[in-house]
Amino acid sequence: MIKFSFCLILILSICSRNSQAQTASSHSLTKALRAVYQLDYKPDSTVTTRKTAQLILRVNNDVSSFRSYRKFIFDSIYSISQDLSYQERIQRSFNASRKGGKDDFSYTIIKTIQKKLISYHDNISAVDYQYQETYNQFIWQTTSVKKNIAGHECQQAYTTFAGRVWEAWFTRDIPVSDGPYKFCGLPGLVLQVRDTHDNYVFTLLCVDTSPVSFDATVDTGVPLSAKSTAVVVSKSKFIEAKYGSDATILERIASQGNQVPESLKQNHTMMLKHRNNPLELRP
Amino acid sequence: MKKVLLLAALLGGVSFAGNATTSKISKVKFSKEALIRLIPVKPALLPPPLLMVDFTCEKQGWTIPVVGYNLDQILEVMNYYQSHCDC
Repeated sequence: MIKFSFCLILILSICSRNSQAQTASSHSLTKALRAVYQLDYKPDSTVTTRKTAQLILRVNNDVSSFRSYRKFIFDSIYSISQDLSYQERIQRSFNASRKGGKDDFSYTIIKTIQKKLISYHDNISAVDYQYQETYNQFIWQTTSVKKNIAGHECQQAYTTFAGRVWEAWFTRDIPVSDGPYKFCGLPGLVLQVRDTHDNYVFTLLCVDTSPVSFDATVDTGVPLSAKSTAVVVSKSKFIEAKYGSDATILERIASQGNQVPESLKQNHTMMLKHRNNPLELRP
Repeated sequence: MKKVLLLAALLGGVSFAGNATTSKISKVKFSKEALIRLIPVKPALLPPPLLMVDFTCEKQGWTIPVVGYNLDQILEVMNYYQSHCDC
């Protein structure tokens, strides 16, 4: 119990632990870091309502992973609760992860710098699948415009990606060629990136350059986590299957013997109808 | 005879005595597998879900059991409830 409480406090204190501005020299040899981003987005383009979510980027040498903060808490607590039964582990981890807030994101993005490979993992009918892309899709145009974000001098850059034009702010203070979501390939960490219509805005909340190292290539055994053995499919097939899986989720939940709350049945069709503004407009 | 042949072909697992390409069929035997297929599968024969975890909606004041055959299924349901219920 003491171990569990300690780890929970440790995870939840990421932001407060290293939120103060750090000097450029302390980042000069950065090989590992943990950065939390806030995503401010508009899932429905027909209304002005916006949602927010927190996501975490973890970089260790040549590999990085990017997923929701809620998912990160679940995985962390599950991994350290090996002395409990499966039911107790999942119950405890899930209850702890709810402190990470709500989000619509179950994906994990793993970037392998040496291979210049981006692997996008997500669950389709509770099974992990992946599609792969290369770094080459990001062709950046940098400008001389600069501004300060979280104590770091940032430089402006533009790219086009998935049907939108994106403005990014990166800092050479942290020489890690990575960023939120799939964004990468600049000579420093991306601290903010937004599409020019502000449908999706990722902004750095805090960064920690001395995290515990991790190996994203090893399977953790955590339920619904990214697995190296996940079947690789084409991006178009992946998107098609994911939409199909989301559309039939209530039938699947019921077929497993679950009661479906009445409020969910009513909201499900509406939810699918109003989810019309994905980050990637074009595959 | 044609109807019998068609039925036999649909059921599968039928063994013909003699040359099946000719119209003279002396004997039709249903294999054990074909007979098993004729018995309707009752839903009760499906195994019960293996795992159960509670999902609590504190805001609305209810708790429901979440069941599934593996941890991935359980977690998928819980994540869906968490994302889409007003809890």
